[in-house]
Amino acid sequence: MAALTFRSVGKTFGDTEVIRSVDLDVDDGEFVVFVGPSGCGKSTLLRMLAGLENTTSGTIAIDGRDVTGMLPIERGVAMVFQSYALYPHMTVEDNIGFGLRIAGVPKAERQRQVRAAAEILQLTPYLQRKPKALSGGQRQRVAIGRAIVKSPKIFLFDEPLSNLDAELRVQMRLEIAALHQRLGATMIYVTHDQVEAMTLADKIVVLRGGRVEQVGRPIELYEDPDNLFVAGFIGSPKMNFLSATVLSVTGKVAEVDVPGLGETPVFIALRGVAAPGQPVTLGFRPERAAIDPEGSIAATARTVEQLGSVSYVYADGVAGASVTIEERGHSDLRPGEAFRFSLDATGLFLFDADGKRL
Amino acid sequence: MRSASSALSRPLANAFLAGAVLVALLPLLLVVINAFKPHAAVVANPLSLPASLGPDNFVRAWSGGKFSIAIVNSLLLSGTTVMVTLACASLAAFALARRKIAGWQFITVYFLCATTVPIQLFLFPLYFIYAKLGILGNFAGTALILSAINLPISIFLLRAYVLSIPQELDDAAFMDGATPFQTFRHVILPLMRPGLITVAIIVFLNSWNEFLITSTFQKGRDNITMTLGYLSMNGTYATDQGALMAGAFILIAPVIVLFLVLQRFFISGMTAGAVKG
Amino acid sequence: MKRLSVRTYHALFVTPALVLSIAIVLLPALLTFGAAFSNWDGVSAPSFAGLNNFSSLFADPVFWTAIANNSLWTVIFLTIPMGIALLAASLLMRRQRASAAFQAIFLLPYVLSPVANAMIWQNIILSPVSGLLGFVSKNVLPLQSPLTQPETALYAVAAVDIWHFWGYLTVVFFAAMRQTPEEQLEAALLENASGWQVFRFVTLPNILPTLGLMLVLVTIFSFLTFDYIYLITQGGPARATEMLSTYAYKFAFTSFQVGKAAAVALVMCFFGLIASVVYVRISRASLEL
Repeated sequence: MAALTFRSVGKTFGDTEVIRSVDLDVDDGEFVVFVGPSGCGKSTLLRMLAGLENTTSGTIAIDGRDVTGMLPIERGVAMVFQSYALYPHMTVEDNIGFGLRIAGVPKAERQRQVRAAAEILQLTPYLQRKPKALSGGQRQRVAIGRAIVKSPKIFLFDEPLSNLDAELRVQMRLEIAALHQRLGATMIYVTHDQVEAMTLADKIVVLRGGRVEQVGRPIELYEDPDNLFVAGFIGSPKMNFLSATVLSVTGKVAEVDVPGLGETPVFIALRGVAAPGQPVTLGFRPERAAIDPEGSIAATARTVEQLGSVSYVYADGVAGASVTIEERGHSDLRPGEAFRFSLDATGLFLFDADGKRL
Repeated sequence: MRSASSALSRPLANAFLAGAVLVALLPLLLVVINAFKPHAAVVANPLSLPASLGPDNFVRAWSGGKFSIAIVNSLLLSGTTVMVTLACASLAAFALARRKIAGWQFITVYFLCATTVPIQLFLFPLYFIYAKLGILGNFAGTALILSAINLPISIFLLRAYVLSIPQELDDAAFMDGATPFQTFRHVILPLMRPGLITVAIIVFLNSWNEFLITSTFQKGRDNITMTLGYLSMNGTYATDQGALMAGAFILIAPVIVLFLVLQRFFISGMTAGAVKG
Repeated sequence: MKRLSVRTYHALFVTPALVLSIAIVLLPALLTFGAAFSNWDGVSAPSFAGLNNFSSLFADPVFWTAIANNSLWTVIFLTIPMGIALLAASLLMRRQRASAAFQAIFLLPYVLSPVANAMIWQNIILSPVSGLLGFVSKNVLPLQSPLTQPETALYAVAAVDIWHFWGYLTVVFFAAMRQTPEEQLEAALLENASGWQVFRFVTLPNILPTLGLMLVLVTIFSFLTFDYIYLITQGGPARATEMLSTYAYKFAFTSFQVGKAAAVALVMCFFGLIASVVYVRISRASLEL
């Protein structure tokens, strides 16, 4: 049985539809990441699941039980907030134990549970401190401890790492992954950072404009995006997009004219149907292009970023096209230098005018 | 150029400030020195220092101002006013800052208008209503009026404190299973403590010092407050200036001590509405 | 048991304050409107009087004396304490370390009760028998008590009230001036601006909202002023210090003409209302309504 299901879940603020008919199944123990640009509705969807926002239509069920109209505590969910939302006037111990205190758990039992949670998160030495006296990472752990102590069926994370500096963010990301392994609980995690999504998720849900664009394992989304938006959102640097026209279709293969890549037509395996003459967009990831003196495509380097293990070449193709190419190791290209490259035929995608994958 | 002009203006500025200090303090210093002098010595020279520091004037003033009764009434009246105001204003401030109720804008504007509403606009009918209800002179009834007068400014002071508490704390408490009242009690209230202290001090001083409402409603010998008791000495003790000054001393000394100890809160509260910061 | 909704809770939170304010302020205020158009002694049933209360007020020269006195009071308070407070506050700006002590001293008269302040001034300063004035009069040059002269009484009471009030304005202005961005002051000093130029071109523009608010509040309170007048002169001598507030108070509690008292109250509020509208408009922006 699914740990969590959304069935045609929608929400409107006045006349604005912020969530449009979301359907989603989450398995027990899964780590699911909601990702999308700001304003896509990912946080709202999480807050609806938490019980902090009401749901206008549809049903949310946890373990098969309809929780749509229930209070947060009745749902068996716990949340880690973006700003941690620790109570500044309470010690770490009181912060973690506040929910238990409200629930009327006797003091001794409360203390036992708080200490157990603190142990997991290595917070024991800090139990008597106030949040102000903690580092960013420690505060983050207290926020997680506050969730753990409730033994929720589902953990909810609302952009929990966005207030941390880059180094700490990587560390906490690993800690959260380890915590998920250790607890084996279902976790729903909201972020706008696709790297976090790729590294943490069992399953990614890409949202845009209150609608689910695609659901899948990170690698599925990366290698087999359903549409132009997902293709562009997942992956860094971004996928290259060039406008193109279908010349002919033979079976499941399309011959496409891409002005930005010169005069040689490109052949692409199709997933759907395309018609000759159809205007389309060709996409390929930077690592699917290779600098190759024998290559069929000419370009001029504009900027070269050397990252050590890889280099990114930002180049101008013909007809005003702009492409990014990933090169392993150090690149010898200099800005302004002309070069040639070739494409890996298995890494090409075609999208129709509405962005749908062909 | 600048140094020349400031070399000239600096002594002038110092003289002005010194004069201001003298003007502010002189009447109070006169109270202190004359509170220990017999009437004849006051009349002879109000600036002379007392010959001795006897308590005679204070004893006469204490009985003349009926301060034994008055201090109880004043504490009851001011204490009740502070409690009622804090309770009503903190709850309302929370609700108005969180904007969850329909019509919060309307209610906010209502209280905004109420901050400057003149007492005379409601004083006369209210007096006759109180007379009809038979609660003239009842400290609790008068405390309700003083609370209503102090409410709007208290609400806006406390509202500013609630606005500085992130909404995510409310959400976190809600996730922790707290009712909005538990959130208020365990999260909001402790976090606005400096605001509560500020409001308590300002409201306490306001009601301790208040004249128009208190003199109109606290009628009757047994209901007088400190200020009214002292005021009753005005005519009868004209020939005992020493006692009058001792009475003033009794009236103002606790207020001055309270103010000096807690002035930080007092000043922040007073300037909060008038200065954006 | 079904829990109450969050909205219901919040509605309950605002209820006590709202009920208290409506019962004590709003409903009696509405009654004042009714009473202004009635004959009412406060005890027996009121009868409708139309505009009689107002027409008899307008025919009463004391009413116009009171209006004139309130207007003069407003002019005095909009200039003298404002000027003193602005000067004192800007001088405090150059004495940041000592400013806390100065503020505390300046505020002392403001935190004391009007009763104490009025009695202190009446007895130990302005009394021709026991006061400083009497002492000077007997030993240096003969002076009459300004409170007994119709030409000077209003200024004398105003002096006491200003003594009590100017510290408040100083502290408010000083708090506003402190918000002036440090860079602006430094930039002005680098350009060799004089003290007056710094005030005129840097400080003043920064405190303008506060200054405006204080002008409005002082206007409102000048038309309501009561305590010091009633305590020191009760409107005398010969109506020289009669204000709308004391005039109304006597109608209500001396001659029990509550209708007339209410009518005067409405006139007072009318002046306050004009200023209040301005005040609410200024405040609305800062309350993010």
